[in-house]
Amino acid sequence: MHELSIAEGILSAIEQHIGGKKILTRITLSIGPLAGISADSLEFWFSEIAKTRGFGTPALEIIKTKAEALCAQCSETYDLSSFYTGCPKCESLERTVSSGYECVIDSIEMETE
Amino acid sequence: MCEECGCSELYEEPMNIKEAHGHHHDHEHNHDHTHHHDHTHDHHHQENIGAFDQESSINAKHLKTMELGFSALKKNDEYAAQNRSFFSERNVLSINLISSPGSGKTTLLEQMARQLGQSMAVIVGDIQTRRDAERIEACGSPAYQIETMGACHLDAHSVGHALEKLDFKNVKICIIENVGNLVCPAAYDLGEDLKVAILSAPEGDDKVLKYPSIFSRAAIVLINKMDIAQYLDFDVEKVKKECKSLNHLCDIFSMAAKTGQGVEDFCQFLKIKRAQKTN
Repeated sequence: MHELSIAEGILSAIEQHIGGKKILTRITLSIGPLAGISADSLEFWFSEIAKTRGFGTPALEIIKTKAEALCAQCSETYDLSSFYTGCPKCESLERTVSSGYECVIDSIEMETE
Repeated sequence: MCEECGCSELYEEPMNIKEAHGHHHDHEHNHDHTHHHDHTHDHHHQENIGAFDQESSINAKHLKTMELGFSALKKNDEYAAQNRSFFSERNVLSINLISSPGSGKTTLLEQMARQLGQSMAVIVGDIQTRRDAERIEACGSPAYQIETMGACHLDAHSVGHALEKLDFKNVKICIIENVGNLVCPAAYDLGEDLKVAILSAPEGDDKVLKYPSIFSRAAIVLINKMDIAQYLDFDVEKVKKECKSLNHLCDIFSMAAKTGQGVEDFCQFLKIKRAQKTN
């Protein structure tokens, strides 16, 4: 459900950045595995609202990034593919997560006159 | 656009719901405080000419690629930072309280209001009705109700406006009671110091691993309705173990908000957290 709000947030942030509405042809996002954002749901809502709000019908390119964790027991750094992945070295679930929650707008492509 | 502060109304509420209820923006917007909306534009503009279709150049538009590299929730995060400053300037500990509907958030806040009185302020998020704010006010703490009119979570912008409505003179702890939902609220920073999640016994002891996005981010987990846990198939040790597996640093409290059991311990813990923040 909140993917609709996130799609709104993306368009608002882009509009603020470029100083108005433009016809967008592509938006590239990087989404971490812990962000709690469904790529399918985001694509659905995005296609619904981008056109309605005057941004055209941009292709949404989603790059799925990795989450990185630091083991609190043995200090191993490892990729955290899900919340249930333990340290590959000592199997401990105690860790500090340094990335994986983010959803970043990497770039946009837009029409110019 | 919201006339006073230039905020996007669409950002606050889902478009389809807003159209259905004829959104009116009737709050006062007196911006004589720190919740300002004029953002600094210090971002860089790396603009490159992108793909250009030579063969159909008569009708082709020029395409320009722009590198951005900021969060999709940038606007929310900016408002959250303002809220965080608001709390810090007033030496207030702020809590984002997240749980399923019916887990006992408001019952807990009623008990806390009886103990903390005017030193606690509550911002309550619900889809509709002022019922929860009225219940909390009746128990002795100031409360302000946000009706999201359909939105499944609170965002930092609506919380910022709610902060304008409350008198923080005697307030030491501010609780933001989020919309009852274990999924969406986890993604939105409201400017809080701590996220607190409630899981009540009737919801089942399997919910922690089913909703990892909130239980991995909650600094404190409250296991509520323990007064009836004995009648349910609820393994509290399993819940504690699974909470620790998602976030080994989380603090866990067992309580029964209805009877008040365990509430005082939680209040004391928040007072310690507030003292740690302000020292």
